[in-house]
Amino acid sequence: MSEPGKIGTACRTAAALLALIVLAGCWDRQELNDRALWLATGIDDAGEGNIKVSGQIVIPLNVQAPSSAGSGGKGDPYMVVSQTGTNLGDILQDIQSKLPREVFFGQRRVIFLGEELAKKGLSGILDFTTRLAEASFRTDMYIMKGATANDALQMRGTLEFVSVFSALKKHEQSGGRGETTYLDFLIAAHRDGIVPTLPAAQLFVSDDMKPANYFEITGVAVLDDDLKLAGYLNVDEDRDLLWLLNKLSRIILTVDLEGGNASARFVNLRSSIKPSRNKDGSWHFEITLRGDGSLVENNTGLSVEKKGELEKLERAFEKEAANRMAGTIRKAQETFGLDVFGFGVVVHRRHPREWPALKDRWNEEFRRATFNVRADLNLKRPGLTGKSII
Amino acid sequence: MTRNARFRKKRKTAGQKAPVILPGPAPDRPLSDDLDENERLIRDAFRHCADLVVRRLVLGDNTEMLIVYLEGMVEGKALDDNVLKPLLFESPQTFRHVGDLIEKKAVAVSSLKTVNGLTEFIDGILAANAGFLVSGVREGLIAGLTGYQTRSVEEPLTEAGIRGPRDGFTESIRINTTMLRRRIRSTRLKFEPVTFGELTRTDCLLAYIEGLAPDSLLREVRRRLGQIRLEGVLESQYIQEWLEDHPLSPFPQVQDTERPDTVAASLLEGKAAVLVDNTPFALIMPYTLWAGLQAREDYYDRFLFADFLRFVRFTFIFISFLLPSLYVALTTYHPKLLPTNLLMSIAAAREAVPFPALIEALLMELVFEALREAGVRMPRAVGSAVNIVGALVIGQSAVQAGIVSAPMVIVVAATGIASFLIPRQALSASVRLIRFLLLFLAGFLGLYGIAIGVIALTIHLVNLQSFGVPYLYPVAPLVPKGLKDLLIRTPSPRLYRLKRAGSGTDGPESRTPGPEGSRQQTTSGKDAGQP
Repeated sequence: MSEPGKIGTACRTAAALLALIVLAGCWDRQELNDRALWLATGIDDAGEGNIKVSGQIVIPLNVQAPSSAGSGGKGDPYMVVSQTGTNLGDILQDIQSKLPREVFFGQRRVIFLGEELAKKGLSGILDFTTRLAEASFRTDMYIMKGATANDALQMRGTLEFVSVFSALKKHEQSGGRGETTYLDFLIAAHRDGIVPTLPAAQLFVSDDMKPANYFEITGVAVLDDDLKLAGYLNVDEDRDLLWLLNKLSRIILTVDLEGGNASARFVNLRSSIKPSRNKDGSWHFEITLRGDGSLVENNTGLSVEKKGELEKLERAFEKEAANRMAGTIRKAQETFGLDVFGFGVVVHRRHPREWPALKDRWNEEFRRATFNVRADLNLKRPGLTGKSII
Repeated sequence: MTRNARFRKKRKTAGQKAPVILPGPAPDRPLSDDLDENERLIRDAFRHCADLVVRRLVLGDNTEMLIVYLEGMVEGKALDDNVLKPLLFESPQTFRHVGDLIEKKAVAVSSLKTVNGLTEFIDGILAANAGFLVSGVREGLIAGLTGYQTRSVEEPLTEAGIRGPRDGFTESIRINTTMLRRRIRSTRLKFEPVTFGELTRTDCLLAYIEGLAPDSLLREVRRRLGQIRLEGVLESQYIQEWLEDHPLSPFPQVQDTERPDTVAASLLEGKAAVLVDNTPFALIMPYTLWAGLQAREDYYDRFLFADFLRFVRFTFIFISFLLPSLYVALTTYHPKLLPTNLLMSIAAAREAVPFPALIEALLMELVFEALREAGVRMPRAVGSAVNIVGALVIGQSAVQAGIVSAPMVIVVAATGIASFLIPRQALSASVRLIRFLLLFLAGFLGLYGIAIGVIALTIHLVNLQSFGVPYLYPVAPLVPKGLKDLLIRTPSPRLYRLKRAGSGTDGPESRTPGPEGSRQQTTSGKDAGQP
């Protein structure tokens, strides 16, 4: 191998590598000391076509008291900034001018939306949050029922040291959607055959929990096709909705039976939907709910050691689950007339040729549709005792 | 071979300012039968050498005898008991031939050599022997009465271990060969002598097991040894650079060890070793990256635990060269990738730090390397002082003063510990160098830079060869059977069967370099390179 040839190759390779480095970018170097970690966004309606954006930002000096940080005043580890303006891009520039550090959205974990804003429609605010490259889709999202998003960011006295984490953790712990909320919402908002829903939460001041105010997930907000708030479903209905969407991880069902009552905790929850046509042309859906349960409480006098009596219990739970689900579907049909469950998605998948004709009037079809709910639940773990010992 | 020749610059002896002009190899002039003439020539050759001892004995009528040796190099008592006493207390004798010295029981020494030339005679004396000349005889006698001081066999400090033999090589090559011979009692264990250094005349031995080490490997080693031109060889590293395929690579391609059991194991795997006098470090070739990551305890411990340790080691090797750069890249370019709580803790700790993360990391890494070097160089007596300064001042005070952040200290400490997990010091040094390179890439380009660095590193490693064996063998080129002793060590009986089948990681045949050291790759482990 001749030397010049080798050198030429080496030069060409080096040049290519250099171009690779320069062209690929990735120049967004920013020290942590120069970033303001933005943990949560709150968006409210400010009237006159304006919106108010609030943000919860970490104050690193107050996060812990490491000996290195010196004598930081022990305040809250976060602060809330807010600004009113016409759109998010405009507002963020104003917020940025209030802060000495560059706002960093990469760790935004929660978005709160005020109820007033939700009533006017969310379509105006979504573009910015989705267009921003550094913002994560792993974000929880709430509509604050009867409160503003700013109030939610101001809440204090939660178990978590940064208050918005309590919202996120509560959501995950309740067996719901958690961090995929934002992504699910975006998918539903851009899809035919399902209307998007968002968890709804309220702030309470009560003696149930001592701190000034606390945050509770109180159901789910139903949005119509224009992303305007249509109404709310309560917590139980929210669980049914999530079960049907295959997003629920656990549920506790309680039944009254033989003069007593029994509760069981079900996991491995799944559902299947089978569409068919009725004679009058309306749609019919066969829904099957499945799950494995462990008995939590049994005050019925039935002995779970006997197969027949255990099955009796199971039947009772299945009936309860099916009735609940039917009621929730009926409520969605009658109160909102909006397909929050995504039956349209199932129809689209099963009958792709018929779908284009159905697409635009699907919510009417949903209102006319009939349902049959069947549950198939197994009580796998009866617990330590057989018949109630008392 | 042009590639190697380019790098093979002539190496100067350490500490020497100007190259010494060497006298050309003088034709060996024969010894004279005139004792005075011989003495004059020897004294002339050794002029200004205060350690030369020339003793003249009168052994009878016309017979005189000259005993020549270097003071301290010869065992005085043996010389007195075995040579002088028999000569002086026996009746006067005459010697017409140096053989008479032995026949007439004048020199009772087992190792004897008759020489004719003056240079040969002088060489014998320089090699710690006693020389005898008799008047009227044109021959000299060299008697092996070596008696210089050697260090006793001790456990090597650089390669500590828990289980396994504790002996380590010494500076004396003769003692070292006994350690190997005791382990491999076979005539197939060969020691081929080579001498290096035009001035130092350092004895070196090429050790291998006949029939196990492939001929092509031995040919190549001999050829490269033959190319070496050095004035002095004080340590095996001097010749190591001549032996390596790619001397400019940060990665060592020849393994060095102080452990006779490591050398013996390598010989049994069909590798070759070069022992160098005056240093306890032997060279083993060929070398692969995986050999560098295997500790001898991998074979001395029970295999489950050994595999666990191997897993820990492999994990920490990645930490060793990636952790500081990952830390810098993640905190300055991609804080999105860290869990929120962790990021908040890091942000809190970094709050008061005045430096960018890259500078902070470089600072701490440099300080760590300095502490490590100080630990090697410092006199033992002040060791605790350095430790206190290192641990308290740099660790604790720097964090308290807000000069560096606590997470950075943790990162540097973890990296430091990880670098000690690499069993071979030379490889550990390469990893430490590469860590700095990656740190810069991470500081300027983030994770993208790390990716570029790792890809470049992989390309380099794949291209490296050691005596024709690819550096990453048997991973690249992939030889599935060779993997049985790579990430995990298969239990011994199975490993034995595999090696017998000629397909183990270190199977002798698999190491075969191409003919005449060509850069052919041995893709099929079993019979590549074998005619």
